[in-house]
Amino acid sequence: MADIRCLICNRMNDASAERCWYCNTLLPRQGGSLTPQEREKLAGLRNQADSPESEVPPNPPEDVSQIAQPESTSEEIPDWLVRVRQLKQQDTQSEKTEPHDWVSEEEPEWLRDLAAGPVIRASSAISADEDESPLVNAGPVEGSEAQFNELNKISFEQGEEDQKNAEPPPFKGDIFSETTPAEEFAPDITPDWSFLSTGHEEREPEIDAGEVEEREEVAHIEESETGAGFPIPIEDLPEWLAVDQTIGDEVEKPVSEEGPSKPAPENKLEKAHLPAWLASLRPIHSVIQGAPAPEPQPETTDHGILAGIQGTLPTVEPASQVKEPRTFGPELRLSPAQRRNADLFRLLLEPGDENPSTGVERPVGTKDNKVVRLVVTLLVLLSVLLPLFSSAFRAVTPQLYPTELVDMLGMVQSLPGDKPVLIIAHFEAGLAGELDWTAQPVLRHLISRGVPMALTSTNVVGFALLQEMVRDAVRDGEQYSIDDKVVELGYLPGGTIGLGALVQDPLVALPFTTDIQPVGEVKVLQGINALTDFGAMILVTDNPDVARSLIEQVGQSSTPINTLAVLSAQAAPLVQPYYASGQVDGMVSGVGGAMAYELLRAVPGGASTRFHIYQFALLSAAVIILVGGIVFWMVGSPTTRAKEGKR
Amino acid sequence: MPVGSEVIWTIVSFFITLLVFSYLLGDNPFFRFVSALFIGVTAGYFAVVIVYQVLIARLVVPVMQGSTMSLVPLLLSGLLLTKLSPRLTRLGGPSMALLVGVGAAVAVGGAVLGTLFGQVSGAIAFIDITNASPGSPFMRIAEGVFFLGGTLATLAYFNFSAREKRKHIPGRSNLSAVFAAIGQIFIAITMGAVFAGVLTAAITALIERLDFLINTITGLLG
Repeated sequence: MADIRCLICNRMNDASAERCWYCNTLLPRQGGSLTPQEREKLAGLRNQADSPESEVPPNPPEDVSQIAQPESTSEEIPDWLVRVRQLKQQDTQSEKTEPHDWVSEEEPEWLRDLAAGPVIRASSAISADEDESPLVNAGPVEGSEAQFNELNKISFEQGEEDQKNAEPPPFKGDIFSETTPAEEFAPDITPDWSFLSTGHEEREPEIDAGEVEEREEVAHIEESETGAGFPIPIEDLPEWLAVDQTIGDEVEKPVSEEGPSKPAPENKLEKAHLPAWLASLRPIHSVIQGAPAPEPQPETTDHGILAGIQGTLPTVEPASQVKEPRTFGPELRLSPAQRRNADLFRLLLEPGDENPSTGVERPVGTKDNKVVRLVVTLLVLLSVLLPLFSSAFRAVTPQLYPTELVDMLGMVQSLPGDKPVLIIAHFEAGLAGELDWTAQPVLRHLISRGVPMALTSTNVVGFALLQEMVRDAVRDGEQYSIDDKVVELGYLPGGTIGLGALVQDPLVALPFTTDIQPVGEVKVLQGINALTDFGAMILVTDNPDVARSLIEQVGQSSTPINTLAVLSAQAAPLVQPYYASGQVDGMVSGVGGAMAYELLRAVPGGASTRFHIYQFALLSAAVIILVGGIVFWMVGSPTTRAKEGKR
Repeated sequence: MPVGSEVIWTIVSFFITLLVFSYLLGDNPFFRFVSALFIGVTAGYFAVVIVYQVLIARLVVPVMQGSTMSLVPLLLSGLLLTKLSPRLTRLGGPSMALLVGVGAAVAVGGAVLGTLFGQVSGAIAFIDITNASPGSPFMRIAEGVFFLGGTLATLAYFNFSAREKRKHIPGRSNLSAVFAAIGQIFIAITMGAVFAGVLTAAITALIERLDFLINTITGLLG
């Protein structure tokens, strides 16, 4: 079966097809006849082909006559061809030099809108001026079969040229327009958003030739108004889009300047007003003329189990998820705000320092420090060892005694012999020697008077040391039995809470002895129901906080109890205010206090025999501190020198 | 205690003391050994004391004697052990809340009633002329004023708030600066006394240890 050539696009179609596969034009039926209008059109074309200006090739192929039979054209003429002929007649009657694309009547509205892009329009205008096709330049068509054959010849030649191209021409949006070199290299078609305007929506599907011209004029008006044929007014665009529009103008300007310019008539259509949301949704490539729409490139991973597969989500390497633990160095890092606060704080402390330091200074250690430390160590050792081995050193005994010591002695002296004394210890092994010397006079005084003792401790080690102290004190006593007079209540847990419980109810806080014997069954503690039933409470400690806690808890009690303290020298200054306020009835502190206690009792002990060592060592330490301070003040300490060297 | 064991313990104490003094030459393995020994012995002794004097005496024995009240601390102690497990750590919340709440209440109550009120009343007592005390009443009033002024000056020193001034570095007012300077003197005296006490205690401990070493040596040598 022979194929049918389309009269419009000159492409071959299957014989069974009714419309052109490429342009959807109604194909001429084989063996059919042309209508009178078709014959007139073809006659006009033939006349044009016979004219000397025509460039019709002399030798048409043989099968052309087979495709388009002259007899068939004279029988039936389709409606579209009638309209084509009418349009051509109107074109020839008018004096306009511009060619009219009569084929555009058949294009749908959406396709016309797409083709209304300024670039294509401008390039079409150029091609229309420079490369006019024979069909366009053909004059009035007279109805004759010869002319129709000539027309077929021309169409066949153009069809051969198309067939020489291996690939079919790409779809450019306007399949009715002829492809020109300018169009080949023209930018891609920009979609026309003007169809969003209401004027376009209300158009009727069929329009006459006059309306076609009117549309062209409107299109030119829009081009002149927007500057570059942009379908939407630039003032309606957002700011970012307007900038891009100017870019598009620059791109398009050289092309539009070459195109023919028409006089801009009055606005016949309203401007398109896009809502803001729709304007923002516009793709950017629709604004930048000539810029092709970027196609999303599917991501492809090159690692993992999805390697090489497009469109997959990127995988994260497990190694990148493992975070190294943050390490903090010994250096203190301050934020600027913290540094300012520190400087302000320092300024408050040192008003004269107008230039506060901006950083935290590191401790500096040098060799000089070690030498100084060694020298000081040797001096202190000598200050202790010399009085030990030499009898030339004698102690300077005080003639005045502190009131707290006197009160302590008087309180112990006035204790009843039948009431036990509660001794609470809290001290570490490091200061056990000092506290032993300090507590021994008091313990011996109690033992000499036969006062029973109940021992407890708020720290574990303290109780063992206290036991040893009491044993040492009892060792010298002749008639004092530990088993009969001393009750070991053991460790009192709970810290401050335990002290509070002890003050509230000692039998509940200390229910058993260290031998798991109930305190109510102990002979020494018979008649003890409250803390005030004890003759006195003696605190032996090296920690001022423990002393403060116990004094505070005792102060809450409604019935006061005699509170005495045997303190280390380092705790005495902080407990002294409690004695001044009357919350502590008496206290002994340090070797000096113990020596004074012994002197008052006229019973020498360990404190009295070593007091001269104590005095000389303290004097030596004071001299070392004084001399060292003077030397460092004059020369500068090694640490200060190292800092200055750094600066 | 038999004499033999006392001599042995004396010799052990002598060498351990020497090892501790070796720190004067710098950190060394001997000192580290003694430190570890002390820590280990203390921890062991602590565990024994806790078991015998706390758990058995205050928990097991009362429960065995039928004291139902002892079940409450037993339950709370058991809940406190759940703090060891991250899953069950919430169960130990009530025990911790009880400990913290009771501890704070006892400490705050003691601080207010024991220290604050006690010290205020003690400061007032200096100015109380009617209080029979030895010495001249004028001297006692002067002493009370001195105490009161020192207390106020010390408190003024710890007032670190400053009013912001334009184009000036924020600082104390003149009156506050004077009081702060006086308070600084009192604080320096107090710190000096505390430092003297610490130094005295350290020197006393040194004397006691050196005396022990010499006595041991002389005792061993006859």
